[in-house]
Amino acid sequence: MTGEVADIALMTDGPRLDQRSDEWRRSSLTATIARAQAGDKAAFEEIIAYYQRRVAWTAWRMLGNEDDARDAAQETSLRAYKYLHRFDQQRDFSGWLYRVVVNVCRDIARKRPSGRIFASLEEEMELGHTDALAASDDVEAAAIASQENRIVADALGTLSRKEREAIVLRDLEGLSTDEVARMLGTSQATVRSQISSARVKIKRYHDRLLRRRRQR
Amino acid sequence: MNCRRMEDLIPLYVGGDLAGDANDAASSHLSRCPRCNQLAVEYEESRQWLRMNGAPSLDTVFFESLKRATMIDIERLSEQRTLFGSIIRDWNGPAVLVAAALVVFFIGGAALFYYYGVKRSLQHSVVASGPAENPIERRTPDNNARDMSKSRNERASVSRMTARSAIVASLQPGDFAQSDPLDEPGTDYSSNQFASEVEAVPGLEPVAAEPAPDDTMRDLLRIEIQTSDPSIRIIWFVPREDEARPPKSTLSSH
Repeated sequence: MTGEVADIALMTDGPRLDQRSDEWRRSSLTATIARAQAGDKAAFEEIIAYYQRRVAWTAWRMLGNEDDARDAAQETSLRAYKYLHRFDQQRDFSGWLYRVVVNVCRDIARKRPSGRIFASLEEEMELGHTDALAASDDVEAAAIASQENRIVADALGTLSRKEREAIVLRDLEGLSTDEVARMLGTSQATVRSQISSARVKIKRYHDRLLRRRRQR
Repeated sequence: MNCRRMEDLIPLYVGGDLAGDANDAASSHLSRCPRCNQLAVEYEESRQWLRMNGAPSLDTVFFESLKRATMIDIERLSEQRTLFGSIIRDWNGPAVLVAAALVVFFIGGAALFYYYGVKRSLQHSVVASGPAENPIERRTPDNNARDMSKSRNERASVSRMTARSAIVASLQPGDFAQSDPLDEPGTDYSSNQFASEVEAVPGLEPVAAEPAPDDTMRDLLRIEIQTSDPSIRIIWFVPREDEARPPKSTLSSH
C-alpha cells in the first residue's frame, strides 16, 4: 500500500513514530507484528496504539456514531489478536486490518434492529438537525466541527452499505480503487460504479444542505 | 463526448477514477463546456466537504479508554485459551506428521488387538469342538459322517453355546444315573436299546456303543452320546463282565 506507514504515522498518538524514516517504520512494524504473532502481548499493544485511531475513524465513518465506533474498534482489536497467527507477513497488514474492520462493521450494522444505521436527509430535516446546524453559525468552532461531523455521518447514512464502504475506503481512507476492490472482495468496475453513485448522492445531500443554509 | 455522457463521468473524473482515454476526453470536454465545468466544481466541493468533516472529533480520552478496554478483553481471552486452542494456534508441518503417526499407530494397534483377540477366540472354539482332539476317539465311517455334519454346524456357530447345551454340560453323571432307565436290572447297556432310550432325552443323540479301543480298556464298553451342541459329547465306559450298571461316567466337553 503506497505511503501506508506515513499515513498511519500521522494518525498515531505519539510523535515518536513521526520522527523516523518510513523504512525504519516499516521494518519496525514488521518486527513488532512478528513478536505479537509469537505471543508477545506488549508488541500487540504497540500495534493497537499504532492503528487504533485509524480503525476507530473508519468504524465511525462506516457506522455513524461514537458508541458503535468504539465497539467496532474494540472488536476489531480482539479479532486481530485472535487471528493474528493466520496473518501472512508477506502481505499488507494494513489491508488485512481494514478487512477485519469492514467485517466487524457489517456485523454490528446487521445486529441493529432497524437494519439501517443512519437517518435520511429528509428525516434529518424533519427532525431539525440541519436547522440546528444552520442556526449554530455563531457558536464555538469545536461545536460547529462536531455538528459538521454529525452531518457528514448523516450524509453517509443516505448511502447503501456497499456504496458507503466503497466511498469511505476510497475518498476518506484514501485507498486506491484496486485496494478497495480487494478489500471488499469485488471487481474494480463494481467499485467504480458504487463510488460514482455514492458521489452523486453525497453531492445531492450537500446541495440541499447548502440551499437550506442559504434560505436561513 | 456530449454533456449527457459527461454528467455520468464527472463523479469519477473528480476522484481521478477514470482511465487514460476517458480521462483525456473528459478533460477536453470540461475545458470547453462551462456548464459541465461548473458541475465538476460542485462535485469537487462536496467531495472536499466530506473529506474535511469526515474525521470524527474523537478525543484522547476516547482512545485511552478504548485501548484499556481492549487490553482487558485480550487478557480475558488469553486466560480462556485452552490447550486445544494452543495446539491449533501452533500447528505446523512436523506437528501434523507426529499427530498423524500417533493416530495411525493407535488405530493399527487397536485393529491388531481386535483381530488377534477374535482369532484366538475362534481357535479356542475350534479346538474345543474338534473331533481329532479326542485321543481315544477312533475314526469310523459313522464318525466321519457325523463329523462332516458337525463341521457344518460349527461353521454356522463356532463359538456359540446354546442354552440347551449349557444345561447338558452341567449335568453330572449321577444326575443321569438317577433318572436313567438303565438302573433297572436286566438292561442291556451294550445294545442299541440303550441309545434309543437315551435319545428320548431332549438334546441328546446316541452316537455309538462300541468296544474300548486299547488293551487296558479292552474289557470296557465305550458309549458315546452326542448332544445337540457339537462341542459336547458324553462318553462313558461299561465293564463287560458286570453289566448291571455303568461304573464310570465321564462328561467330555471338546
